[in-house]
Amino acid sequence: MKDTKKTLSKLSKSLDETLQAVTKATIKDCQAADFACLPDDVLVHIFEMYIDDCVMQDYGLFYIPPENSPQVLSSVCKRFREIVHHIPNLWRHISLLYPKELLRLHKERCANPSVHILPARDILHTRVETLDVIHPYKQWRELHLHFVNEDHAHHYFERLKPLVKGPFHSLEYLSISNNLSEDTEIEGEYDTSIYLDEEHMSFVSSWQMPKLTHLELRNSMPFMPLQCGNVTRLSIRLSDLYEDDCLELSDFQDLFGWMPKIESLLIHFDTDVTFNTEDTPQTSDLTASLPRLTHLDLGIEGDTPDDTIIHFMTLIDTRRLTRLALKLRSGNLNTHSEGQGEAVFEMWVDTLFLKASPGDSAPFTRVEEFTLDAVDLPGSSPSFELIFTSLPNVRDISLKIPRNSNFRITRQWMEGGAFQHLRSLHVEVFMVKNSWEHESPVGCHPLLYSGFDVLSNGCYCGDLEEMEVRNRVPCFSAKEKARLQNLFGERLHWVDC
Amino acid sequence: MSTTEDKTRKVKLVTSDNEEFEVDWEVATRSVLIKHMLEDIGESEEQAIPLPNVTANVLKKVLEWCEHHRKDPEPAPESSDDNRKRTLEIGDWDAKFIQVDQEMLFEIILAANYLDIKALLDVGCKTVANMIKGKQPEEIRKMFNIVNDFTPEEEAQIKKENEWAEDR
Repeated sequence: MKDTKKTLSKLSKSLDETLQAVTKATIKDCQAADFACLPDDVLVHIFEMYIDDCVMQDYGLFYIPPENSPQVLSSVCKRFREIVHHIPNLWRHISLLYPKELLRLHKERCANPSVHILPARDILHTRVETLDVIHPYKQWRELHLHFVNEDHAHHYFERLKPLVKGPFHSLEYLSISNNLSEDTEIEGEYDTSIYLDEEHMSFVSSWQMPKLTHLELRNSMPFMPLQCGNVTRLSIRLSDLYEDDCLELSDFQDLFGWMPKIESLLIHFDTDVTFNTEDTPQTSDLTASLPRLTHLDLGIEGDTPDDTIIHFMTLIDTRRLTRLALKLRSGNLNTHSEGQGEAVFEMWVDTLFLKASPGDSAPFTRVEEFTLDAVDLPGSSPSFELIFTSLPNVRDISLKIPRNSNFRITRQWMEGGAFQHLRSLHVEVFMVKNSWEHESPVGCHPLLYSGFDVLSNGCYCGDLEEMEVRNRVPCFSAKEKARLQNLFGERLHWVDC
Repeated sequence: MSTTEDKTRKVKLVTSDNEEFEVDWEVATRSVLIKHMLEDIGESEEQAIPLPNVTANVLKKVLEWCEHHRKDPEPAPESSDDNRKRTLEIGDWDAKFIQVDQEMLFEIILAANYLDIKALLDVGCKTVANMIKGKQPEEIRKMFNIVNDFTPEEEAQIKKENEWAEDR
């Protein structure tokens, strides 16, 4: 009897285990069915996102890990392989640093690649010879030419010279980026400068790029004509320049002149090197150099002097702008003591809205879309007033500001012409990690509690359709939300991030 | 452009398991499919919209997303440049929202695709792409319980293609 009981117990245990295993397998099968039932176009969408993310855009960390190649996806199962092999776009990124076999696979599957020349760790690892085996330059859709310094650039240019014999027929995007860094392996032959050596510049100047629409320049200022008259978007970033460099307004003027179709300009200054004031071009109408410009993205960071902005803005006809985006960052500046951040913010706002357009009563009169991204610089009330009274026709506003911004719209602003045509206002409030910030009083904060009261008055903002608040400060209570809801009703969209 | 009348209007949705949901017009029309169906049936408020491809538990989740994003602007058409800068970053709220089991994740993706809610589809696809990122084929198979259905010949070919990875 005991033996039978023991056997039955064993059997029962075994049955339980089998049941558990079957249940587990069934759950797994169900999961597999879920994945398998995604339609092909959704899988393609997922794969495209996966591939896009493999290109790191951050200039400090720019690389394409081969581990994220579509080849990985094509090795998972038949269906993945079938899809991946039929979407050339997934294979478009080619890095000079790719292993040969991977390079061959990419080459076979995408005829119009985005070629990435990435900063090599030293002069011995530039892999320039790869340029001989990738597609002919005429097929390149994008060229990202990013080098450590001009000694490295020299290697790339020398390798490209015998290859480039005519127009870049397919090139739509070109990025030239100089890290201005040293290579400890060699004694540098070329200057660490934003200006290329004449021979190199001459070579770049010979490139015909009839389809180029977007040009990005980082720490690189062309001083010979570029053949890319169809560019509509130009991005320029200048950061951590060497003291020996000096910006010349005439270089910018020339650059703009070679691309008369520019509609959108992004310029970002993060350097204390400023313009050579002695070499200001002698012309009565500097702003004529960008006749089609309507969108300006201006970034100012760190210890960029206000002189830089004043000089640069002489090239911009602000009266034509319909979109203005400002990105202000403290950078290395010490804004940790109370009032410092406000002072920096005020300096740059005064520079842009007062000093850069003296005598012009309505310099930004056509701006309809305005974006301010100053997440680590609390603005002062007079500065905000100056901004918004300078934008009389703005319709859509997006603000990214810290919670300690001194922002309270008053009747005086409205009577000064602010927000008369406002349609949508998006405000994103950020926490500031400053030591003195933690001492801020707990409770309702004026920025969201009473900062926007005046806007709810129908006689001022009749067109206001939408107000969105994205709140990244957990200590804001429901009181602010309730009050804004009371003021704006259904027009308020509150998002706790 | 929606009218004030639209904003106060309610919409009835019926799921595949016959559950009925009554939601604001503004919430329901985050779905392009529902928006078009509403345009087709006109002013008839009583008429429920059948959603034969979505179950109640999934629709509930989808509507939670639509409610949160009810005032979001219409997604802009993608340009080639936008494509280049697309990242796998997901907003904080969306990241919390999509913390669901794998089955629900795929259900949400399928529903977003069927209902034509591009922003929600993006959130789901980004989540899956993030799960795949940095993983080897075998790890991807294991994670999603995908069967390796290659023939021995195909396996050999893939092994050859992937020799670069073994050398690293």
